[in-house]
Amino acid sequence: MRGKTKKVFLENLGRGNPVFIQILGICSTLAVTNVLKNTVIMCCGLVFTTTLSNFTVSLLRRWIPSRIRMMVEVLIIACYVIIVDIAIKATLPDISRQLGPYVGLIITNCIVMGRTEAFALSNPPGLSLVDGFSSGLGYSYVLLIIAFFRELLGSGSVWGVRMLGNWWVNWSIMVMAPGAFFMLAVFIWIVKGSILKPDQDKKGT
Amino acid sequence: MKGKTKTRQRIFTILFMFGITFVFISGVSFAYLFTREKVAMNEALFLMRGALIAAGRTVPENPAELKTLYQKTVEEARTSEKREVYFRVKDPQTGDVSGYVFIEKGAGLWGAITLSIGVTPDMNSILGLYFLDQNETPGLGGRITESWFCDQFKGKMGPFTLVPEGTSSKKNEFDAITGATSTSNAVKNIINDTLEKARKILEEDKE
Repeated sequence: MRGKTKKVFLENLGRGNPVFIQILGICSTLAVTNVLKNTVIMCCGLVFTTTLSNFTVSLLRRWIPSRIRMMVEVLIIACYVIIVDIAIKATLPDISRQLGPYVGLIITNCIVMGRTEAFALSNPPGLSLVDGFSSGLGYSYVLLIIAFFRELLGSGSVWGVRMLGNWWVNWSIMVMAPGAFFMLAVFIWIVKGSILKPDQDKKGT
Repeated sequence: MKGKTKTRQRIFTILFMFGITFVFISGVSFAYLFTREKVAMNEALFLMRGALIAAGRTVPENPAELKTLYQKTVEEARTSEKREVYFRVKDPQTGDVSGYVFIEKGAGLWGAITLSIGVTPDMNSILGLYFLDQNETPGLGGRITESWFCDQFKGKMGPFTLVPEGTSSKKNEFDAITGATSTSNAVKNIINDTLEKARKILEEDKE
């Protein structure tokens, strides 16, 4: 069991990564990664949602009638996301204002729904919890890397603190959506080209 | 016999959906009720802060102090119900009127921009500017909320014209944001409209 947990955990971070292997959750990857701070909040929200919705769906998996399973999943996911949204509004009002509709859009993030469909429905709660958590982490670290470079190149700063001197001319394209496409493509290229070797990659793709 | 099980299954499906919806929506409702006051309070504090910054005051971090300062110095100034809401700001020491704050909404590049703007009673210069709501591109148009952008209006007066970032020198010029010309233009229009409206309202109310 322990070995399996470890395998599930590592799978989502590497060879089964939701962003650069499964190419899921791209909309939010493009939308929130131009400023590092927003990305961190978004990632926390997503980790919370995937973990708990995976766990809950797995707990209920024996009773959920298969023909309405998607309705149930969306309901559960939506409830957790709204709770995250309310919590951010109550405790971090400024960040909530900056994120605007993006927190609510976690509901439609393919990774959350994908994990409940593909994993939670057929695995026990404990393992689903780990899977949800590691999927969230797998998504988060990719976004954080992309956000780091986009903010650095696009605004010359990291976490709102100026890093590059006045000589630096901001790459405006980096803070716009096309910049995220470039960054993501470069990221996938580097990871697939040099870290995950093609001959070992057959299963992953 | 087979038909009966099918009917049963269908009824179970419906009841299950009902039940689970009830449970989860109750959970969300509780979370909402639990935080409602805090959220409303945050919202009110945010508006107060917006009005005070527009009035050119240094705003205390502590929410209680902020509230006291607001209640002591800001009051609604419209003369009739039909009028738009605007605020009169008094000096905390002398009690004299030090300015007026107007809140205005206008079209930005992606969505509405709401800002509060404070002017001196003689409409000679701007006391401060604060963006209450905007949905511009983060990192580009979104930079209008940064303090260098808002602070540059202090002491100036419109109608404004745009000049490239870092070059404004006259009293009716302000720095546009490089890469966000549309947003800068939108802000210029909203500010000019607000100032024109403010002038009209203040003149009418003086009589």
